[in-house]
Formats: sequence, structure tokens, C-alpha cells
Amino acid sequence: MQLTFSSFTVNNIINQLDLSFPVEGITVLYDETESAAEMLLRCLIGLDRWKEGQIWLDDTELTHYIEEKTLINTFAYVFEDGTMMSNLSLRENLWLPYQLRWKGEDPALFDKKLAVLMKRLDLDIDLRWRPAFIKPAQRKQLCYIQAILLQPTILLINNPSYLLNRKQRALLQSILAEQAPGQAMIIASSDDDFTREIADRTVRFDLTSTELSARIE
Amino acid sequence: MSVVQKEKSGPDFFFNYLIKVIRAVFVIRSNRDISTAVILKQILFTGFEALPIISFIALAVGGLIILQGYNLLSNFGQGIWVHVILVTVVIRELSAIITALVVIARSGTAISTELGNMVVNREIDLLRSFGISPLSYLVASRIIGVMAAMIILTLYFNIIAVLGGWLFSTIFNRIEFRAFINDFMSVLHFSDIFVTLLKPLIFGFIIAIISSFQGLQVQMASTEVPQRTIRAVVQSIFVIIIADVLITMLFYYLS
Repeated sequence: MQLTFSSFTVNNIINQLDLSFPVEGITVLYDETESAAEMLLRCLIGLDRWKEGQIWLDDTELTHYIEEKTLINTFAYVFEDGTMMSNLSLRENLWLPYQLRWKGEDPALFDKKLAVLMKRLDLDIDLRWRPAFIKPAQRKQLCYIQAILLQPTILLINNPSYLLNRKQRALLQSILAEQAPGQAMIIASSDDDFTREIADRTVRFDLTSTELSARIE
Repeated sequence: MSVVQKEKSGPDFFFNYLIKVIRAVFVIRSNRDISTAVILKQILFTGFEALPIISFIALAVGGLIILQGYNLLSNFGQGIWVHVILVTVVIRELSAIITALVVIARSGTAISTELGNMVVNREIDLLRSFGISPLSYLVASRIIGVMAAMIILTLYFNIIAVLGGWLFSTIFNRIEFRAFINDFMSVLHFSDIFVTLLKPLIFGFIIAIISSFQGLQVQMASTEVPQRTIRAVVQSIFVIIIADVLITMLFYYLS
């Protein structure tokens, strides 16, 4: 699958950007400023709007693609700070998008898959708790689980190692690397080490005072 | 200012919002994002948990109206007409407006604060990233919940106020409950019941739409949340009083 941004303009920073890269395995959008790459991810999922230009997935314009396939089947987005709905329990948070994605699936199967991933990430939490009762790093790990369970066409991750300690980061990297052959991911990161260790492909953004350029490695 | 923020501060934004929300509320069957759980939680919070304060106010209001009315009318030997005052003042006017004020104080502020905090904590973005419409999931569900709770609370207010009226009327002369209710029912018309059901529906919609709108108007900082909540309260009271006057005028004009 090829992702193309054509004459893409959001604001003064992302102005007339032309960028195209294959979406297979793990693609890291490396951006030291942490703004342009995040903005591209947010535009993909529809959280930010762009002024001009188009986004294409293969030969289909993004809006049409999402209309046809639905947003939840196309993208899952992991927020950098592990955002969850504060008025829902942890389990309800994980179940809400899951039931939209996999309509009519047995909740027991969901619990089984959830337990496996929680064990892999070394998470021992009572899922009846509200998000405010657990540590931000644990919330972020649960957000990864939430996104992985959705198995979207493209998994979008913003600032993947933020909030995580070394051990949590290593566990996460092993899971992402394991998922990568069957799960396309686009990751916005400013972490050099993470990018070097995990990326199949890197899009390096270079922001001069006047314009943003992108180089694919 | 981002494109989204500019859009949110536009002058026609409220009317676009109103139209979208009305569409979301009235196409419940085809709207998969409307959450029964959110509606039930809202009814529980707005309706059930407000029963003690509504009981207290209704009992006092019903009693005071009978007390004042009986004192005044008995001077002219017209004590029986106190039931007319009870119907006119409580059933037609006070029940809906007092219930609305209680709901504004409890639920209007809660809706505005909760949605404002959700914007700041990016929970609205989270819902949108799942393809769930925040207007349907959060706003439309709350509007339905508040409207349902308003009807229940207003009817409950009426019942307790009438009961309070009877309790206080026994202070002056021992009236049998059945006789009191018979007198009361003889002056109660269908139009009174219609108005007492119509007003809470409209007031509930007004409270929920204004509170949710102000909550969602929060842009970035948690300091905006109390400011928006205050606006929600002031605007809700203002619009409800205007709506009440208009409905009452229309009611008298038609009858």
C-alpha cells in the first residue's frame, strides 16, 4: 500500500508538502520538532483538518477510502499520553472501540486476547478501575493493547516511548516488531535510538525556517 | 489558532451545532453512536439523584402556597379557591421552572464541566479517532437523558407539592385527603397537564444543549472550564425564562 500526500498544506509549517512512501512494516516519521509528524498523523485520522492538497491510499483519496472501509477498520491511533475516557472503566475503554471493529464478537474471546497481551506487557491491573487510578505508563501500555486488538489497516503511533521506562519500552518494541510483518505501522517519533532499532523505513523531516522537507531512508 | 479552533469560534457555529445535534437526537434508530448506557446514567444522575432536593423544595413550595393563599382568601371567605392557586402557580408555572433551576445547578454544570474536561484531556479526540461522533455519543445521549429526567422530576415535583399543600392545609382545618384531591382535580384541566409535560421537555433540551455547547467550546486550558460553566448556567436560566414566558403567553392565547 502506498501513502501519498500531494501538495499538502495544513499551516505555515506543512506547506505544499509532496510525500509518498510505501506503508508496510514499520515506517517512522522522524521529526525533531515533534510537530509536523504528529500533525500528519492527526490529519490521517481526521483530528486536524488541512487547508489544501490531498491524501491518497494507493489510488483512492483518503476520504473516499474511509467512507468505504470505515475509520475504525482503517486506522487506530495511539495518543502519546495514553488518552482514555475518564468516565469509563479500563475494560470499557478497551471494549468500546473493539465492539465497533469486531461487531458481534464473543466478549470471552476479547478477554482472552486481552489477557495474552497484558501478560506480554507484564501488566497486572484490575480492569474495573477507572483510568485515573493507574499510572500514566500503564495507561499508555493499555492504549497499545487497545490499538493492537483493533488490527487496523494502518496503526498510527505518536511518540511511542514517551512515559515508558526502559523495561516497558523493550517489551513494547518486541511486540511491535512481532506485529510488524502483518500490521502496517506509521510512527511519529523524535527518538533516534527507537527509530534506529525498530524502523523498516524512516521519513526524516527537516524543518528550516521557511519550509519542511522530507527525506525517505 | 488552528483551523478547528477558528471554526469553533465562528458566529454561525452554535446554529450548525444545534442542527447537527437535533439531527443526532431525532435519528436515534439509525444512529449507532447513541449510547443507551450514557442515557441511563444521565437519567440516574439528573433524575434519581435529584429526588431528595426536589422533594424538599416541592413540599415547601406546595405548603407555602397553601399557607399564603389560604390566609389571603379566607379573609374574603373564599378558602376553596386555594386549589386554583395551587394549579395555576405550581402545576402550570413553578414546577417546571424550579425543577429546571435545580437541573441547571446540578446537571447543567456537570455536563458543561465534564465535556470541558474531556476536551482538555483530549477524550473528544479519542472518540473521533474511533470514528464515534462525540455529538451523538456524548451530547445527543445526554439531551435525551436530561429531557426524560426533567419530565419525571416535574411530575414528581407536582405530586409532592400537592401533597405538601394538603399537609399544610390540615393546619387550618382538618380536610380529608380525598376531599382535598377531589377539589384539586375539579380545577385541574387537561391543558394544565399538557403544559406541565411540554415545559420540562423544552427546558430539558435547552439546558442540555447550552451546557454541552459551552462545554465543547473549551479549547485548550482547564481554566476555561469554570468560565464556560458559568456561561452555561447564566445562558440556560436566561433562555429558560424567555421560553417559559413565551409558552405561557401562547398557552393563554390559545385557551
